[in-house]
Amino acid sequence: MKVFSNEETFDYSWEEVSTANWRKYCPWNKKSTHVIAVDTLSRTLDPATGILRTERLITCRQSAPEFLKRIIGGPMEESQVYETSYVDLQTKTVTMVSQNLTWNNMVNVEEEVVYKPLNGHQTQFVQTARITALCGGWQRIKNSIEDTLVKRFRENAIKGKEGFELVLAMSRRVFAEEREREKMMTGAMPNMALLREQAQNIRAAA
Amino acid sequence: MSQSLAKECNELKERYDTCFLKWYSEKYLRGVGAANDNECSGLFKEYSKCLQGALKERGIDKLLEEAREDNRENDAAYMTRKKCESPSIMLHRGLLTFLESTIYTHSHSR
Repeated sequence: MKVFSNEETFDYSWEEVSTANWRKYCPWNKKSTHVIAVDTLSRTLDPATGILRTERLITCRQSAPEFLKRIIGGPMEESQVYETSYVDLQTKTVTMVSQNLTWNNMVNVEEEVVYKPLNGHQTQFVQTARITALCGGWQRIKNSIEDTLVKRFRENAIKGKEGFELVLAMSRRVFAEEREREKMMTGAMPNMALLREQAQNIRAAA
Repeated sequence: MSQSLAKECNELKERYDTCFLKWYSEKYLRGVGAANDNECSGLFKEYSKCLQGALKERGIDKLLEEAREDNRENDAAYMTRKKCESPSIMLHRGLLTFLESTIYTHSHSR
């Protein structure tokens, strides 16, 4: 087993980060292009604790190194990750745990990401991934599979940080513009239904 | 917003995602989000119906079932509120338990 860990600080409030996190892989993110689809499988809010639990399916397209393709015997271009996230409003914590759905008889990848506020305008991101190659046989092959995936995690983490920064910046701008627009429009005409419709159009365009 | 893995669900997904994001930022984060029946539930049902079909077609539904089983421990760990008690409260509670048990033993030894 190999472990990859990474820590980052984002200069945005926890509220902004936890909101933008839902659209981390939207077209504003020009860096994490290996994520091609994000689907929500389920979402529940626990009335007792206020914890919001979400299950998502993340589809990636990233070509694997030649030697891995040979071992697995396929092009392995598309892969899927199952992610469960827990938002705890009381402790202001977002915890996301993920595991690979594809090739899970070959390799086990478990990732945990936690977003917590450092203060009112900064958020800490802590990422830990545990990678275990399962295929029987040579330790050397297992090691090289694990090393390759750790390297991939490192590359994706850099891109992920850069991409998320873009999403956060755009998110802040769009929310500010929307607030401004709503303020202006409530002043000009108090037609709330129309206002809502306009806001929805803006969101759809984003 | 991001795409769906099934092209035919993109439009329904977009509608739900937009609704959810608004609910999350304007209601949930402000502590006024109603539990599971909110303004987005109808949209989620439609999107989900489309997605479930696509998952079945691709055989992903089976893989998901296994993954959900594996994830039970995480659910148990993260769905419960972590108790953030200060050491002094814990000490008081310990002291109370001790006193209670002393009283209990005394009253029963007579």
